[in-house]
Amino acid sequence: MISTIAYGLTIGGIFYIISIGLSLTFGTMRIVNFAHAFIYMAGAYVLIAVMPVFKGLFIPAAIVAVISVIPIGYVIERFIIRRLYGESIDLAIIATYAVLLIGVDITKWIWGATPIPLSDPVRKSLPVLGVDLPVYRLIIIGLSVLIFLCLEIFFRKTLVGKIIVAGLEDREAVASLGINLEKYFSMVFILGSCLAALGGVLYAPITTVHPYMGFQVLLLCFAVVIVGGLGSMRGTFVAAFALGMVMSVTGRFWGPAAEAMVFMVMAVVLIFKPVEV
Amino acid sequence: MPGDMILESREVSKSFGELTAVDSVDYQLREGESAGIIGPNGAGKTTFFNILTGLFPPNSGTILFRGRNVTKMSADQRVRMGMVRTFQLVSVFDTLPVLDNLILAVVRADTKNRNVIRFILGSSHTSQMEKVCMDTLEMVGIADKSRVLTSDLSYGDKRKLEIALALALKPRVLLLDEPLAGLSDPEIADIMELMNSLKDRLTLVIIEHKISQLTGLVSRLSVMHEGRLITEGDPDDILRDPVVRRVYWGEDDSSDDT
Amino acid sequence: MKRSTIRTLEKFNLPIVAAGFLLLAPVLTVQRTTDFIIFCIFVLAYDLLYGYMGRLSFGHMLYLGVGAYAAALCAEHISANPFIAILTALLSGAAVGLLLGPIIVRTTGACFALINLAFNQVGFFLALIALAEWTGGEDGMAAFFDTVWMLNFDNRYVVFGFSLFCLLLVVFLMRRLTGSPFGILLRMIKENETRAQFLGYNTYKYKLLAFVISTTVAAFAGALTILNYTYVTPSFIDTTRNVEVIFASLIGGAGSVFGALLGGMSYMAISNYLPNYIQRWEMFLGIALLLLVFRFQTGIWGFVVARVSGTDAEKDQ
Repeated sequence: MISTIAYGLTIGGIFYIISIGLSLTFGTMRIVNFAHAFIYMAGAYVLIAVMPVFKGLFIPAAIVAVISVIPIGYVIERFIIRRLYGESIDLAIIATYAVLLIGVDITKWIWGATPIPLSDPVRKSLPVLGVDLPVYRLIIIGLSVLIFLCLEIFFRKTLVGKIIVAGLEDREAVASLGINLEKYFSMVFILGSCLAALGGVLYAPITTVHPYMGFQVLLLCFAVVIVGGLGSMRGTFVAAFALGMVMSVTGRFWGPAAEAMVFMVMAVVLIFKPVEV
Repeated sequence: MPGDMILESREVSKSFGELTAVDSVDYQLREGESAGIIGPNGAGKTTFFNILTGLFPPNSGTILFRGRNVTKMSADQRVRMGMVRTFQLVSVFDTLPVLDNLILAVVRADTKNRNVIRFILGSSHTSQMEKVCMDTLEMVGIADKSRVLTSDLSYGDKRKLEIALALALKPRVLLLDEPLAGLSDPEIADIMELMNSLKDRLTLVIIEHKISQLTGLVSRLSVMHEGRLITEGDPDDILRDPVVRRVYWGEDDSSDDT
Repeated sequence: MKRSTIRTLEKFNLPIVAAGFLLLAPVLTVQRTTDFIIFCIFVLAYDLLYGYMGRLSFGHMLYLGVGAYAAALCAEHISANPFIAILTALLSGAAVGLLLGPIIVRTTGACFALINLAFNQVGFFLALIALAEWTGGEDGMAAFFDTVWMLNFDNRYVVFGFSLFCLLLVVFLMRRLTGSPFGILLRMIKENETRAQFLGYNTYKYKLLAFVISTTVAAFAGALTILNYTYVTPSFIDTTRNVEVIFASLIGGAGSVFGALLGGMSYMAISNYLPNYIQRWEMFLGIALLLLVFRFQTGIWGFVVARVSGTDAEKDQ
């Protein structure tokens, strides 16, 4: 029971970290960014690539992985999304999907299609209420809450954050104040990309790293964004943990149904809470 | 019956966050009347129209149309009951030819076309339907452009097309939201002439920013200011009203009466 | 090419399509041509939503799969009569559309794309695991059909002829649908749904109708696939395959029946022959998609039409 809850919170935390970027691009640009899944996967693969350089040390490798996706995120935002911005949402979605396809194929080219396992970087367990829980998972839960608090402060206290939140709510109004929202949106995009990479890095030791890992997670995180409410930072946080629990509890009874259950929950939410997007 | 109450709002309010856009507005319109609503920018005129026509619901208050409470009805239901509007920023379908814009309005207005099978499988360009469309285009003066792609029309012609769209729906009440905005002088003259010819045939409500245009056209003017309906009456009296003069020329000295 | 040529094409669309595929059959082999035909039906179903109504679905494989599995299940449990199987597939496609449509069509844009994808994923799970007892799980299931009215569907030529007949039927239906007031309404919904409501149309109702038509025709294509291949596996409804129909819609030219046909043909030609020469297939698809999005948005048919009206305009001057 305890381990089920802990597992739910762990994947909830990872869902949250990945979903922020999706929710922000959804809220600001109204597109679903499939390339987000590529960046998530890129984070995990860069981690594997640089681990030997740091003699197997996890933390420096993780930092390098997160930073390394900044240029990738910039290029995607600058040359794909911004060029289609305002032209057609559908074409922008297709274009990000094309980037994902290219990214997946490059990954297969370099690392092959076989899944790569990664061992737990902490390798310690902590007894909680009589159950041994891996410390690494507790760290993930703590980290996601920390990120949530940092973002709350960033979006409510800093000027940049306030402009972004205002842009989420009413783009025209902010633009009419003479503020160049594009600049802020690309910052948001890169921030979201870094977090996606962090999600990939953190999740890698729990699952395996493979070229299609992004597809699965993207859909689950999309469900998080829908359930949480588009562009709502707090809603995303709550929904991530709620759906993490749904997955973990369902998985305990019938493993293969875990993901399908998340989508069913999303459908139910959509029935009762009509979203106009 | 002419003279009967056809459209009425009771204590309608709407706010967006902190801002109260429409504040407890009571408004009545009688059948056959042509009325104007004026007020400076941001007075809540368009928001009031949006509530009347069902674009979004009010926070409180009720709308009555032809004796029925339509507050919770969707926009399309109200259109089918005969409440038709145009938009401040001309809203027509740019990707379709001019004639195709009108077809659906004609189909909607013609009760013989209610057959669903015919709607989804029948031809959209029967000669009878095209004739009705051409007549309507003739009325607004753009019949020669019926085959043109709408995006190629001038702004003034698009405005005429939008009015044609509204007329093709055979409205009981026609609500025009700033029909003169953004037009050149000759285009304004065209639209004024058109509105003058319409006012004897149907019930009209016109929102206008430019006050002087309405005086000859409507029999009653209402003035909105900061979300409230501050006064209404005969157009000439309204223009002489000191309160109205202060709202229009006192606070904002840029003289909008062009 | 002149504008009158296009008009002739449109007037004689059915004989031209029929002649085109009959000429293609000896070149490509009969079974492959049948494949092309069935895929074209699927693209037509998809393009009604994407090209006409402006709703991009990333989960349309589900509706294709519903048709295929329904036909196979019917053949196994109810009747091996191919026509009853096809009817079952059509009804299942419509039922799934009616069940999911009310949730799906309320959304637009990115939401629409991904909700379809999510349901597709659920369908994949159902076929692979939850209903494995009936669907055969990963191994899939085979279907064998009786000979009815001298039509023996083990014979490739029969399947080919029947598929071609079905395609002509669908082309006819789509031409009627898109040339009707309903077709104009769908285009209006694509451009500005709110404005269409202010013409007195309950757009939700018509969006649902278009969605159900699309899922039903997609299921039709699914049922024909099982006539052609006699088996179906879950990989048939793999969500990653959705890009195929999106690609086809784009390259042919979205929002036109001819565009959809050309797109279906082009994609099938590319995917059947190019992988022999191109090692990195996904990368090729990705780059081609980017090129389509950035350089060739109108697709082949849009390009042809623009060229024709361009030359006509020059002549007018």
